[in-house]
Amino acid sequence: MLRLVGARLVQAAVTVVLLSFAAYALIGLMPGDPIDLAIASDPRLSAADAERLRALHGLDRPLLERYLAWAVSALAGEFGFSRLFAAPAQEVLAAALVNSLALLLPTTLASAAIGIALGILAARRPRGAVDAIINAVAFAGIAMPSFWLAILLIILFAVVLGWLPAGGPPPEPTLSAWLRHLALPSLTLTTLGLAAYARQTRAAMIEALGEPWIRTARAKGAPPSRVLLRHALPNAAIPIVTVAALDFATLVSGALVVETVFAWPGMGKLLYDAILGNDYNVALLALLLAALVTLAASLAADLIQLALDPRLRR
Amino acid sequence: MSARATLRAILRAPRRALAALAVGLALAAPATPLARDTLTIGITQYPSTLHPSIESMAAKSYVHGFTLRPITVHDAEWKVVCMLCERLPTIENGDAVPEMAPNGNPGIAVTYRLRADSAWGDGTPITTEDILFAWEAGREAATGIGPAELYRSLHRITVIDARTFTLHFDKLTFEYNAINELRPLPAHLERAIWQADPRAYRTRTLYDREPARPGLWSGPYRVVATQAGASVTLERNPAWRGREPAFRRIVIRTVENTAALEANLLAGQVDMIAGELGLPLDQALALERRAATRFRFHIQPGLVYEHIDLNLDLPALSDRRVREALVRAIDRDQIVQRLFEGRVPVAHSFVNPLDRMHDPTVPRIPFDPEGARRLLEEAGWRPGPDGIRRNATGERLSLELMTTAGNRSRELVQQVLQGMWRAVGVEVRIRNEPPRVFFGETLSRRRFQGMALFAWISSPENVPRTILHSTEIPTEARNWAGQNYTGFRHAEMDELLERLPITLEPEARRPLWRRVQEIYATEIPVIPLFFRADAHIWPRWLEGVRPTGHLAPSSLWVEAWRVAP
Repeated sequence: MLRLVGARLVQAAVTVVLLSFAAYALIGLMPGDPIDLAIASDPRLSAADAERLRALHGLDRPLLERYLAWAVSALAGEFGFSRLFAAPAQEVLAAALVNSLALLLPTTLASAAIGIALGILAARRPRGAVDAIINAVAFAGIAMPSFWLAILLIILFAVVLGWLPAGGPPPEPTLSAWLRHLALPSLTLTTLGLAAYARQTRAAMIEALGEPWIRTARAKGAPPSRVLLRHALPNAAIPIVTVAALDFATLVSGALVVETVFAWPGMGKLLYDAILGNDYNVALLALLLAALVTLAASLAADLIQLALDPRLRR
Repeated sequence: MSARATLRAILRAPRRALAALAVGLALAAPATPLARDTLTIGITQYPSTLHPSIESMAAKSYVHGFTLRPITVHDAEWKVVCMLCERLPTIENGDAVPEMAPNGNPGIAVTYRLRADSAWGDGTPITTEDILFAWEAGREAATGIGPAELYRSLHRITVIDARTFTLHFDKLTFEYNAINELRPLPAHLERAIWQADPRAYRTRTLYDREPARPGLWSGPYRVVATQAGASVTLERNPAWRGREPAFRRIVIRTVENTAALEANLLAGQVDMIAGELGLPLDQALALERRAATRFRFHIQPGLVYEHIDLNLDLPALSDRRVREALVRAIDRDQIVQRLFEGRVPVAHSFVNPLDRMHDPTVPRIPFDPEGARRLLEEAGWRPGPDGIRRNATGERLSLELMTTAGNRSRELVQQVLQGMWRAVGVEVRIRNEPPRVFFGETLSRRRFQGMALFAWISSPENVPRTILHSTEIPTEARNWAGQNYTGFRHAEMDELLERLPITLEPEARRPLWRRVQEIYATEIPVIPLFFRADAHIWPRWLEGVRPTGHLAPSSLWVEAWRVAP
């Protein structure tokens, strides 16, 4: 176990270094630097202005030199200034991270809980009426584009009924305001997210319920709920844990489309804007954070799987 | 399709169908309006900085309209007027005096007197010290101000007293008294920060670190709170001595997705959508058809000039007859009618019909497909077996038409144009790029192979030197500066563009402007299409908003906004 953790930590460190360079290089090699864009939009910028601004922002230096300078600063805990948001990169990131976690953490938990419950219900009587309904819901969730559902919910709950705000962060930091503003984006993401859990759980549970030891448990008189929850579910949990690990990794990378439609200033929107706006410092920090959390979630999933399935420890 | 274009397409796809449903239902059950002491405005952009001089962007200008007073500005009649000064200096009233500049060129000394009642939000009077600081910071390269021409040209400031100062410019142009870009900075708050480290000033300015400091603001409102990427909240500025504005609080909310912005309007979460940064015209027109009873729609034609730059280095396009044929082949009136219900003016030159130097007598090229075919024949392009014309060497008359991917209006225009040109035997290949590639590389390095459809934003009586002068063709040697993307070279045009700025009398400039428009219309380096219009959407209870159509936002005159009785 310790060897696995150690190996994965080394792997993570190498991945982060490689990723930081790849991300820096890719953003740097994208056509048009910020000064090019400024020239195109502001006819008053002269050649001398462009030269001066490039030097001021360090854009006249080779890419590798700029990357090394950034890496040295980053190792010292200095992540630079956001050119898009006029604030230190870590401050910009922290605000977006809080927003994303506020939106995605309850959403992910709710998706997992409801999706797993629906998957278990569907697996109880495969091809029965309940299974058909849950399957239809799950398919709809998988097939429905997030923007479509988001707009539908806005129209119903904000425009027609006027019960909930159409989007944006809460104007005042009260719990009720937060809950009201989180309701629609959370509902959108939960509806879409639970589908994957329901499908995965259903398939794993149907497979587990067909195993001989389930028949044995039933023959020994175990009640159906015990058979489902104590005997089948732990055995079906391994693929569900994998889905959950991937899902939790997205907590810090945000939900771009839903954040855009609901004007929710989270990590997905921040990362998208930072990359397109050549905001190196923010983009790199966000990418590195996402990579670290993905690696950590993946490691956690491996460890949980080891705990669930003793055969994997051999 | 690019990621941005894909995202936009995804987000726009359901707009029409759902908006129709939404409006129908919303009219039956409108949301409760907010209290009338607060006005919530929806815009589609968030300012990346609130500093008056660092970077220019429309969202920042809009916020500053409420919170900062410029010394001079172009008003809704497109005339230069004083805002922070007592009277506009002119040569006639003696406040502007031509003089010889140190570089030996004709210069001018212009004297301004600040209004006695002007003050920062903390009560500190706005003085010449604030003008001096703004100039010194702007001149310092390390500060990182974008366009530095104003600070270069303004070589000296003479302080007469706390409210009076003379600006000495090293050139004499007809815009000598328009100092819209020279924004006073609160020296009592910002000078020490700037002096400590000019290079770090942009990261330490209070405008971004502590925007709620009252002393940063000089307009009828001051910023009291910001939510990065989401909103800017303003409240009445207690130090404001002018007419009291109607609303106690104004919240400017950013909703980048226009379908969501429309839903916010219908849900009552925003009271109005600012035309300066609002819905695309086609979306606004569709909304107007369905929700005209709830909102007032004002379509304001402006200075955003949609056109097609032609790459004159290409052999086919270097022939003036081919260029004229391309114009004759397209029906711009029909395009404007079909796509924008005729609510935007067709462009026949780059000078807006609202501009005082617009000359309606300049020759116009009409829609004339027969004439287009005749011109192409004369130029040696004859129809081939597939209907596409070929020259004597068998080369097909095939041109690339590029624009910004994801801009639905432009993409529609492209498709209509493609069909119209096809009808006269010209093949047009559409190739679009994300805006950052299109503007950052393809246009600025003149890499487009044929035609580039995009827009220019200008100001009233803006001399198009950077766009039409032969020395403004972007090259690597010039660090790709300049916007003469067509590669247009015309000796008379160059001379006119040099004479225009230094001709002080408006009536003396008029024949020069006429000739510039004439050359533009006959040499056809560019195909004019139309002038874009902004869609301002206001609640029926709001009165007094007056859009300008140019870069000065309507928020500059917020004192005139009123709740209808």
